[in-house]
Amino acid sequence: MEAGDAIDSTLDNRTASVRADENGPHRSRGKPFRRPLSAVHGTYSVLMLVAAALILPPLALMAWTSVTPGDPLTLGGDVSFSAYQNLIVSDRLARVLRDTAIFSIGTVACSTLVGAALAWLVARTDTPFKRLVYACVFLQFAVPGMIEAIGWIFLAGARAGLITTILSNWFGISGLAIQSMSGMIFVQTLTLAPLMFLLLVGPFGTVDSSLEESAHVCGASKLVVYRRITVPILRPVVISSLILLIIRAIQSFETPLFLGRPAGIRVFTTEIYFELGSSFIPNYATAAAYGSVLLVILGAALLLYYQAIKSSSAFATVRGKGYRPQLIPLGRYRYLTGAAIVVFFSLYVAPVAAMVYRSLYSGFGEFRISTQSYQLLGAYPNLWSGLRNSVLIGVFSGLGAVAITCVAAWILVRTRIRGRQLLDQLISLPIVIPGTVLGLAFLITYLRVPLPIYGTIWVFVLAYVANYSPYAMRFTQPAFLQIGVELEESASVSGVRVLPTFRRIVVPLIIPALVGAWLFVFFHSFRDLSIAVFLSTSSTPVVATQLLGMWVDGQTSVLSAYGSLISIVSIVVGGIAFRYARSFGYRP
Amino acid sequence: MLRRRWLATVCGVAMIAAACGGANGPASDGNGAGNGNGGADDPGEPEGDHHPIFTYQGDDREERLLEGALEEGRLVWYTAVVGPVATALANGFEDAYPGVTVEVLRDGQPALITRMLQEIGAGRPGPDVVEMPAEGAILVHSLDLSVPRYSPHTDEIPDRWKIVNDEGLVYVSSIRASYGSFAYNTELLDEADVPRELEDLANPALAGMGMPDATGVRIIGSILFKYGEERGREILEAMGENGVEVQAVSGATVADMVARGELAAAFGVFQPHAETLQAEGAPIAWVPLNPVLGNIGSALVTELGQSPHAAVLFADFLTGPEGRAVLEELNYPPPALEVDFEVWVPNEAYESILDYEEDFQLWAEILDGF
Repeated sequence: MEAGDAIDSTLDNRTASVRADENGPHRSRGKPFRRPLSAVHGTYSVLMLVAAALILPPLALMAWTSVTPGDPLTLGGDVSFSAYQNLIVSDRLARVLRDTAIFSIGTVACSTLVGAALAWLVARTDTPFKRLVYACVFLQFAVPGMIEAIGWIFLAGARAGLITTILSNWFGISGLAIQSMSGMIFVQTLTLAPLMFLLLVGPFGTVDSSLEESAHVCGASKLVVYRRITVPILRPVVISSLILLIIRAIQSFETPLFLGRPAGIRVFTTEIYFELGSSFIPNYATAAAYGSVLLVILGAALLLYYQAIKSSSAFATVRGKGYRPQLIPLGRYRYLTGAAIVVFFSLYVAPVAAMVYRSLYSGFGEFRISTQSYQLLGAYPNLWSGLRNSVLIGVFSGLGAVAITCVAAWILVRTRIRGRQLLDQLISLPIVIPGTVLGLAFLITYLRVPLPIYGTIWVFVLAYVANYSPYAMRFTQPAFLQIGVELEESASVSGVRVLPTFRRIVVPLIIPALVGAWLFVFFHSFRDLSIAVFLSTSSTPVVATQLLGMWVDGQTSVLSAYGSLISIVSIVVGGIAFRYARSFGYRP
Repeated sequence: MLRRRWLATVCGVAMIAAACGGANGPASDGNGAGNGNGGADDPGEPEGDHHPIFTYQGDDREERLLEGALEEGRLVWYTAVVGPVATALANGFEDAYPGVTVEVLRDGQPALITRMLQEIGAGRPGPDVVEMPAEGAILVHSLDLSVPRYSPHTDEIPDRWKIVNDEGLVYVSSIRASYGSFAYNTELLDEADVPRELEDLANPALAGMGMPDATGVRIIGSILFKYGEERGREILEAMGENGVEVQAVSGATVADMVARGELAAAFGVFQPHAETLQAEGAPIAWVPLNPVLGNIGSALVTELGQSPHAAVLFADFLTGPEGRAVLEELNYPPPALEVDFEVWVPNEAYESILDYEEDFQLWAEILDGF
């Protein structure tokens, strides 16, 4: 998801660029042309209905559940705000707010520092090992967050982690514990720093160095140039990136689940999850109240984000000219920055390596290689069903999201239908909804809606299409903006109807974006835990819930074997898929 | 109060759902918290129109069950028993009856009950067979979701560990016992600091002690049960001040953490998990602190699923010698087996399951404060 956020922002910038072009000499490039009204309006209406049906009922039902605490089964209880009152009166909400704030602010601060430093090194300096930074981004994308978190427990868990033991036995250093607030911030920083890097590396690289050079010529020092030229130019994109990072940090689930609970740290997303399993009787109202409060907070953050994005286009002064940023020679500091990048890369490899090590570690006592855990994994019930379900869910979610956003983007870019922005906003709404909230909302909804999809993979597919369509939209919309409208006009003039034109001319031209969007949705649907944990049933196990089950059951050796295989296969398949996508012209 | 009202509503909904789905068994009092015959059902009441295979006792019962199960091809089993045990039982059954697949949903007791209630509310198919700690099974039974069935093994189970009606048909039968108490890493905790009584848990040397969240709630109940409200809370407060690491995992995982040295000690570790790890050479020891939490896994058949024949066949397997053999091999003895420590089965201390649920909430709040 994080890589997608970066793509989101990058493409927003590109979108702004193309939009600006519309006002320039190539005005005709993106100009809508006349379409048969009935077909276009019909498509728009159907799409609005689909998007609304997908997103609004779950949210509405969740809000309704939060104010009908008496009867969560039938939704027929009296309206009451007692769930909210209980939250406010008890000290739990304050505690959850405090922990969420510390975790989010800490993570965002560290991610910004690390991500910005890496972006600057890659875009503006001659540091070695630049490609390793991109490898970190890929690893973060390919390896499920749950495996990273558990891998770090194996490495730096209190008392028995591999690093903890070495520090304690060899150097007498104690007190290292990944299951702590600082540990959570560290692991989540590794998740979000690549996002910050991707968000900033583009803007860093496209700052016109002639502005800085002019300042230098005028006698400004390096510090003054940064303060007066570079920072003001980058400020809007940094602010929008910060807001996006805050949203992502608040939404994170795996890290607080695995590292926060043992340390007594409670954030919104885990509180929603635990609220439903803390007693015999499901407390939907409180869980839904937490979800609703969180939505309000994130909704406000999203509004700020759109404001920042809007203002960032006003700063897009650097385009349309041939320029190349001047690389700053680091001299002997190259070795230092190169070493720092290698260390950073090793932080992404380490949890996977720990997982592999643990999978080969047999029993207790001295280390000896054993394949026992892999044999046990082979006998794990429903292993293949879980894998098959996860793959199918990924495939169909990707197809669904691509299909919806492809048509929606076409309507947005190529038509002048009144209210088309509403379609964009509707599809983009789930970007602000954490997976746990969306999972809970879908569970509440599809248990009641007389549609026989609960207990099938299709309820997952619907949830993931809703959850990832905002990201897929950021692939498809700019792709349409980059294609001249003349091709479609020519087809129209030649008597070709809208659908054949779309299928035979438009789609082949935007295939790279569609492939990129599909890959993004596939991988994220495959690895997601936050939604799956609510929707999984005995007949629909998925990889993420199987991994969680192994962890909860203490089957760490089997978990290690499964986690190792999933990580390695994800990395290999992801690598091949992106290479293949490049042959279609996809450039992440 | 709200929860009581809620549970009453759930009972109503469950009964309506059961009626619609044909699971209109005898109305129970809905209050039976303890196991045994008391409060299970009213004598002489008709068994309703359940699927006839549940009560069929003819000579060809086994053949009919097998034939029907093979036609159904699968059954859904919700269980709270730890993963490897659930797997071993499912595999054992599938080996004994090839062609009948067991779809297992393994989760904590609250999550399983939550899931069932969700499915009932939505009118969706649910589990054919349920296995969970006794208090959960009794709650499910009190919601009229268990069906009376004939079992050739009913007589082998003592009265305390089953709920039967006057006709000898069984609703709930306990199949396994595990006992949760204190475990420690023999390399990390001094022998002198190993507690001998529950109140010794307040020892500052046990700071950072682990506790699984689901079991931890009942563990807190055991302390309050033994020492009473005032002294019990003092001990719990002292434990909280020392620091308790509440883990959102099963007792098996906490035992594994102790064995690997991630935790020096933990409370709420079950004896079979510790013994299995000990047999593998792990430096772990299990100490019963009286009263020891008795986790009595109890099985029942429901009509929420779609495979009545396979359900009965599987229930027979679980309560019969084959299932017992699997369980005993994994250190899960039948509840009737004598043990040399005092056992506390939480629900048995309450008149009604609703009273128990109220106290359960209080204990959960204490755990929440750790």
